[in-house]
Amino acid sequence: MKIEESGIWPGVSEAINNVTDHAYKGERADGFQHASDTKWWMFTHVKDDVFYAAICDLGIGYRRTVPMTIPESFQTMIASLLMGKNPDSRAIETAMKYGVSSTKQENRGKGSRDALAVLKSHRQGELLVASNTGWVHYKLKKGATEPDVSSYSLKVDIMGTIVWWRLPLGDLL
Amino acid sequence: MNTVNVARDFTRYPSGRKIDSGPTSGEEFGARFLIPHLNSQSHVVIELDGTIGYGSSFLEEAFGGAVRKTAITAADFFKLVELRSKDPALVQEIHEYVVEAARSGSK
Repeated sequence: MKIEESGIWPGVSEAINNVTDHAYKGERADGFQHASDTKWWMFTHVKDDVFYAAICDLGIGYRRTVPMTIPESFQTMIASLLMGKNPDSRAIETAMKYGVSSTKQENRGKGSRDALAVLKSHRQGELLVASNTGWVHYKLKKGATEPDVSSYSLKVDIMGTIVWWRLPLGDLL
Repeated sequence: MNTVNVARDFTRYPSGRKIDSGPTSGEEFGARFLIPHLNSQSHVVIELDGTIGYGSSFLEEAFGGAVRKTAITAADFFKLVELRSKDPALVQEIHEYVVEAARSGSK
């Protein structure tokens, strides 16, 4: 597999684009004033033939951006599937399913879908999205066509969003 | 015939939507390589292969944005712009952005 086919670049670049486009479209609930020139942080690492990338922002999170764009009809339709889950996890899963992450313009917001598409184009790997008090983990096993999805609650509010990938590089090396 | 190879003529690392995201954004690509051809009604071939990949925002703003800014129909767009790639899903994705941008613009 070539790097072009791995889907790493679209996923990572779109995650950053999402931050700059709309992660800071509102005031944080805690009033924390972070350094205004720094909107996102990125970590990359290769260890034991596995590539790790993480992007973090201190914006308003999925729970507040998702309702701005997703039609009520879709939210209603999907609500029963996500019933009982942490509300931040619900927002993350809703964004992934709808392919929208923010903004009222129909032409925007496919970036969340790109984050998940990395796993399919890479043919295996893990994606973890943590936002405020929820996190959702997607794991695509080699040979599988759809990722396993698990969602959880955090005991603390991280007051931001982290998108993290774990991608084995075996086929790229 | 005009041919634009994205990797050769623009960047191997396309990213971002708006020009303020950086010099490799979709808006920048559209402004430099699509809109001039649409305005002058000249044919252009866009060779997409060779970059490290395309994010949705880049593609939507480059192609959909060019449609919105020129108010061209989808049919006329594809008379002037020929997309070439070994990845049919990539061409299909751009096609959808163009059609949607033309449809939204005609509302």
